[in-house]
Amino acid sequence: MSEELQKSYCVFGIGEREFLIPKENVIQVLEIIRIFPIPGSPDYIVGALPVKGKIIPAIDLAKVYNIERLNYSESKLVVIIDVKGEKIGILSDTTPFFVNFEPDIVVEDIIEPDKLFEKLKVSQKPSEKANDK
Amino acid sequence: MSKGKILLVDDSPIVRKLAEVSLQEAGYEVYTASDGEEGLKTAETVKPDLILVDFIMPKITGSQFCKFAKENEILKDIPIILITGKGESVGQAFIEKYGVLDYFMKPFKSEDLIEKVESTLSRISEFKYETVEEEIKKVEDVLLSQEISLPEEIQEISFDLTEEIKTESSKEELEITEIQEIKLSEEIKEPQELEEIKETQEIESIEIPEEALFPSMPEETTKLEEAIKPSDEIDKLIEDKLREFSEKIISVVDASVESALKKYGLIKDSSFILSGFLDFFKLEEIFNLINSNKLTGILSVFVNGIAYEFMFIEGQIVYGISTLQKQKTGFKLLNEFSSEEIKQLTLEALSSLRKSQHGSFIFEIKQFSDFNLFNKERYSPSELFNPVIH
Repeated sequence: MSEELQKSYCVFGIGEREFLIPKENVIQVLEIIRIFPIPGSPDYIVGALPVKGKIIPAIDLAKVYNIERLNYSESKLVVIIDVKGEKIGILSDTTPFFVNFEPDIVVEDIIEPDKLFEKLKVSQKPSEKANDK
Repeated sequence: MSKGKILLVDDSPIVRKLAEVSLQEAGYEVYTASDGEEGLKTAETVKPDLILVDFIMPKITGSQFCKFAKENEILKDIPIILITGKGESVGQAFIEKYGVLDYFMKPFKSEDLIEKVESTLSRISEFKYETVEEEIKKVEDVLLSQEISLPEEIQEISFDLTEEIKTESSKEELEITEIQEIKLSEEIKEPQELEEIKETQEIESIEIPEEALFPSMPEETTKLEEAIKPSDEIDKLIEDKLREFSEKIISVVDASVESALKKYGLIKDSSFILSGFLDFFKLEEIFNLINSNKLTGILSVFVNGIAYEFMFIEGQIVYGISTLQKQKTGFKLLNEFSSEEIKQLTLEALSSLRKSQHGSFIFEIKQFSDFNLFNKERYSPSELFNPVIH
């Protein structure tokens, strides 16, 4: 009964913080085998990932949210999300899992893909300008 | 010797380890589980005194865990504290929806966690696992019974008093106006009629009923004599209560007045030497003062509800301990500690005390009769202060 009302989220960890992202935005979870650094890209973009024959950017939210990593080995997992048809890979320090809970529980640290995309764009602009000059 | 069993359910290994180590250090028996499923199983076998649970966990989330726990016969009475990094609103929602006792924000400091656990456990032991609703009911019951009982007493007393006044005044008048009485007694029947029928003669009728009581006095006095006896009992009760009350209050007032007078130097008490606030005196200065004067006694410092106690013999520290440390060590006697442990405790107490700047202190001179104390190792304040600084 209540299962239908519940919202599903994918949970992934960065440092000691947990982030939630709506389940419907998540396409898949991959293990990073190979990542190609992109020269001149903003620091939150770790590199490019080949996924199903396409190349998508992999971002590290630790750089976006200024999270310190303590004693963490290189993250090996990446959550591929879909934002308005564009795919982005987000690095995760923990094995991502799914949770369900009632929508009336207001939870912090939920990533809304649209807003994340805008945030990335905003933070991208100054660096682009700096590059132009 | 554990203070209680605590189950910690969290998927983060770092949180688990941190909480486990710090709670174990505080004297608790700690069990951990990495997800809700495991948590429920361990909870059933261990039957902990308190469960700390994370919200976001794989398999079974914190909310489901709480639901299952409340439905489970064995677990439903075990208090749960939510540990979450997802904001205050989550904690509030959990308190309302899932009957969680309290919540705790992640990331946390281990001292805060211990404090939270200790305060909740002590609160629980006071109320013996009563739910909030039961507590409220009980309090309401008590309040109701008090509300009812008090007015009754007051009414009884006031009733008796008014009667007593009447009898006293009427007795005097009775003796003097014996002749008038007979006349008045004849008039008794009239006022009743007057009251009922004649409105214009109200003034007379008001005066008459008062005097009209006199003829029936003999009967009333016997009744009153009977009534006086219970009133004596009530008087005694009131007196007893007042005595109890005053004893309690006076002792409280005395203590505070005494300490206040001492503080301002109005009482010349040889046992009292110096007191003040840490805002004005540096801890080091106090210690050096005691050391340079070679005083023997006890320095008590009160900071944030924690009392620190330092014993000095001839200006040198024998030991220092805080109430928190006392709880941790389990109220052992001084002799049960090795000199190294004492030094460690003293250093700990000092270092934690040095962090806080607001507080008050009192140094009292005492003569110690225990001979063993003089054989204990002593440390000069400077010796203890310096390692703390580095």
